[in-house]
Amino acid sequence: MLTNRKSLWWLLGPPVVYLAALPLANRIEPIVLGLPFLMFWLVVATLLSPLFVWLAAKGDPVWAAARRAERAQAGKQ
Amino acid sequence: MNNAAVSIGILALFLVAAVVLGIRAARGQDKVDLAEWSIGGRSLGIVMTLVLMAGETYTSFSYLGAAGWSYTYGASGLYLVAYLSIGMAVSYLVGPLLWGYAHRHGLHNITDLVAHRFAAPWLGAVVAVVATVFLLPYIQLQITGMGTVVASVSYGAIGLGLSYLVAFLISEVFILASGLRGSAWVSVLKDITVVVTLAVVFVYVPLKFFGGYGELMNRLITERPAWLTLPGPKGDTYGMAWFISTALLNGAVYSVLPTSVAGFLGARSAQTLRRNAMILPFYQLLLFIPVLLGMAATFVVPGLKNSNLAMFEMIRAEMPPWLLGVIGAAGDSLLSASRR
Repeated sequence: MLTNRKSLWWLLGPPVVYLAALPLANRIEPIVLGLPFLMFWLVVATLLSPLFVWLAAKGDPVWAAARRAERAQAGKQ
Repeated sequence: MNNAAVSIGILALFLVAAVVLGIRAARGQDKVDLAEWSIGGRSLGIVMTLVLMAGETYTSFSYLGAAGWSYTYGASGLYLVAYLSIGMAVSYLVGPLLWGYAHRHGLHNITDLVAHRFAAPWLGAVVAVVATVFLLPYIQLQITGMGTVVASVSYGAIGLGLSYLVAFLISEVFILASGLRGSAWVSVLKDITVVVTLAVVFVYVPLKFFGGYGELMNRLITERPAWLTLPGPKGDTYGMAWFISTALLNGAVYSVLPTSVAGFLGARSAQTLRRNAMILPFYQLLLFIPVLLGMAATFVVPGLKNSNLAMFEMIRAEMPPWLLGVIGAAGDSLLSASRR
């Protein structure tokens, strides 16, 4: 289930940006887009999370195989 | 007509619409069996899976509790956003595994899965008991939230006790009658109501009470700095160590919560779940709104005993009753959609 799915390491992205970076982000200054920095950073992390999952899927042979199966299915109909 | 009658009327209308929608969605099926009721006959596409998982995930806690939390404890309430995003990432891998196994062996829930996988019916029974026992406080929380909304929307005309009873009856009827497909359809109604009302409140509150969004942020930064970082205004309890451990733990187990598993198993394919894991995190952006509004409420309605009402108390005095009814309906439909 995990062989050849190295891209799944990208799924560690969300815990890294939300949690490992927290000691650096836990501050009010600088204020970005009117938001105190901690809140701004958590918004950034929330926008990055889907990107990490997308990167995981992009290199994932299981995802690619399922895509091919879907296209074949659509072609048949 | 007085205010309470208008707002309660709107709320009642929404709840009836939700129950009817749920029951109709369930009735459209050829055969109504347990698989249909519990996992929608494994037929939900990406859109329905998205709204259903959003319904399972965004409960009264996200809507009222997040505002109440940030009112009292500040930014630490955003652990919710962190754990949900982490949970979605984990679900990219775990969701399809559970779905595939359940699909191959015709299983309907986490209990079946455990009993079958480990060939140990007693283990399935243990999971069933543990899940039920630990879902009870969660259900109680939802009923409390729902009742609080009813009492609040009625401007106090309906007492809390009666409100809890109404909330309980509505959700039981709904759950038994509609099943997963009904939940998914009610989630559609709920999502629209929640997004619209949050947007309205988000624009309205800063303008009405602070003269604009920038002014609200300025006042927070100068007068409520403790609310804007961890651990928040109440001291050390909700500090960084708490935030990190809570988000990690909840994120890791999100995919095996019975309610999440029910959502997974209803999907049409494993690929649907992978797409869901990719798209659903965007929905979390909405959760920043109640957190901000909870902090804004510290200026408008300071010293509340029940902080869960922070958002309601803030807007109740200023908004037209029909809008309060719609906002209450959004809060309550969240519950009936998520409570399964």
